Amino acid sequence: MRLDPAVARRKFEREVERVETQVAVLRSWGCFVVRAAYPHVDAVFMPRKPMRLLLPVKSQQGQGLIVLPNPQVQFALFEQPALAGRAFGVRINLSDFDQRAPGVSFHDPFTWELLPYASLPLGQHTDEHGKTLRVVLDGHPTTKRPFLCLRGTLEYHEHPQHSGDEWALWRDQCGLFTTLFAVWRTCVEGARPNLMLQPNGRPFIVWEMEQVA
Amino acid sequence: MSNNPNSLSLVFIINGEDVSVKTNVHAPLEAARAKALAESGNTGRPPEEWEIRSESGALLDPHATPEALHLKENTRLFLTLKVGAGGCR
Repeated sequence: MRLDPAVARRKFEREVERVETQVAVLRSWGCFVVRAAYPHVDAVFMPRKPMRLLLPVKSQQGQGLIVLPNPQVQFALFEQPALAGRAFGVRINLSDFDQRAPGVSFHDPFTWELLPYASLPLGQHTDEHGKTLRVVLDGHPTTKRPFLCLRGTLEYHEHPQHSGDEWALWRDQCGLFTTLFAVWRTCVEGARPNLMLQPNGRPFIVWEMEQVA
Repeated sequence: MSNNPNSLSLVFIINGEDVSVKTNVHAPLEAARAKALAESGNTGRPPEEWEIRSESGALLDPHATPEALHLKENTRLFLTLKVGAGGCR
């Protein structure tokens, strides 16, 4: 069922207005709304948690005459204040909102082209029991694109594996601001990139989930 | 600023809207949460389904008191629904 266009625009304007009143909060997140033209709101997120460099240190091979079996590789950690995760753009699609949930897509902040999965931030969600799930996934069955798998997004509620979790149950509590908050919490605030130099000389990215509780 | 040393105003941000409530510094945060949800008309889901987070995104214990958490007058907190996530393959 399509929403009356006039109603849809009013709801869009209400959502944008709510976000505009919280511009200081968004800025503190590193979130900058760069365009708001119905039905899309485009925002750029700028991670700022410094990247850490993990370098292998010579592990202890033994103690005196005692040779340790299978000595573990240890790493020294160096924070790089001038480096952080890559900035990324997000488009929130409010077509037929709030009859439909907000859609979320990831974009290159310079060209606004859709970002491939390999260039996306690691999105992680930790629940109240401490279980961590990846929430930025590739290959949505409908869009065939990377997507944010979180309740409150169009891609989640229209995914066949969530057919029992209807958007209608959540629509009163979700909107543009909550969507931006969810992107920030899962893709920016909750993840820090670590560049690990493995003993074999190959670099490896380890995304560290911050324990925010 | 309230004259009552036990009274504190907290600002909950619910779906982008500020909701200011007065609470007692010795009362658990869940009391202020319930009040904020009621005053903003967000009564469709139980208060327990709403997470309280600080401005830095840290998850706060709803059973903790403002005093224990060292919350100041007009501290801003986020109220968001517990998120269902992931599971897609």
